[in-house]
Amino acid sequence: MNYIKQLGVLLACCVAGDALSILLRGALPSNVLGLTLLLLLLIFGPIRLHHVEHTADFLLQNMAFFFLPACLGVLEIFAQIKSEILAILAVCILTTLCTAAATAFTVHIVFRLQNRESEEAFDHD
Amino acid sequence: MTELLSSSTFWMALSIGCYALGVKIQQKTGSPLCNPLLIAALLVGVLLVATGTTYQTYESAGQLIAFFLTPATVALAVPIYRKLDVLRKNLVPILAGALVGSLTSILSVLLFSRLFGLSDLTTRALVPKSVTTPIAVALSEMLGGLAPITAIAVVFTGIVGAILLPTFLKCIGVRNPVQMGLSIGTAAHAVGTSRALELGETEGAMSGLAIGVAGLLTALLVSFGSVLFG
Repeated sequence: MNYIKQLGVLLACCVAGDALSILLRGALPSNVLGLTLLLLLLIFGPIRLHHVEHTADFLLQNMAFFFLPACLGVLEIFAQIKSEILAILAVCILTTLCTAAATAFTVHIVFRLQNRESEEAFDHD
Repeated sequence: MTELLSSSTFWMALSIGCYALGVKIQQKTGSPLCNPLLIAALLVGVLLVATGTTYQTYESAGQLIAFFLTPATVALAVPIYRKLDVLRKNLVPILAGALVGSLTSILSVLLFSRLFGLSDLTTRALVPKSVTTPIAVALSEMLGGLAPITAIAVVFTGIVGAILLPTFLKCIGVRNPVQMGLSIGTAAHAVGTSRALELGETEGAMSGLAIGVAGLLTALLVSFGSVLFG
């Protein structure tokens, strides 16, 4: 239940992620490597859920707030992107529909293939 | 009084206040359009402009807030670990769906950006926009894109996904809750997931898992892509 101790564990994973990212010459972002590392440590046992979960839940529940500075950064570059804003919004809408449709279609194919191979009950309805 | 406007504590407190107000408005209206981050960004943005405060002044408070981003991203391992049994049981559809979805997202951004005549710099910032913000921003910076464009595009994508996707997916014949959840989570990350949770428990769990899996797969795809194509 000690928030600072749990933050320490999370920050240690961040630092390890940084080190890995440098070793990999920046091929993967350090935060993704830190996430993967923590997941592996949880699965293989050296870190238990109770070593991190309270601070982790606090950070996750407030994740959106930590992005406020990044969003406000738009003020600085607004003049630069003013002419592109409508196109950016259009790209976001169209690609979101494409992505969801492609995912749905793939999962549909996988279900059909799996049902043909075995009759094992899936999580169908 | 003007000293207050250059104090990072003042802007920090104001940012928290605006965000808390945004959360309250969303709880009252229950609409994905009233995204707390969007409301807070608008309010603080208006206050910065109205008081003539530069972004550089705000940045001292901004850095304090953004410090928590990396540990918050690493913390995403916790919800994935909690749903490990769901992940194991549906491993193939989750991996296949998130992989094809992530690839489609990247390719369709490249296609539509070219079609709408967006600059190379803006396109780079949009490539990772379907995944959760911390991963998207890190990937955007890796590609040489502008982080603020990515942050805004990610939030907008989430809102669009939350509003349109349940109806859109039903229209194209999606009936299975696993399929529904994975599609929403892959295309519209955490904001979409908040909507998927309202559809049902399976939809929510699947959507939540897809955030992490699609984020990791997109990171791999973008890394390989940038190594291959420069």
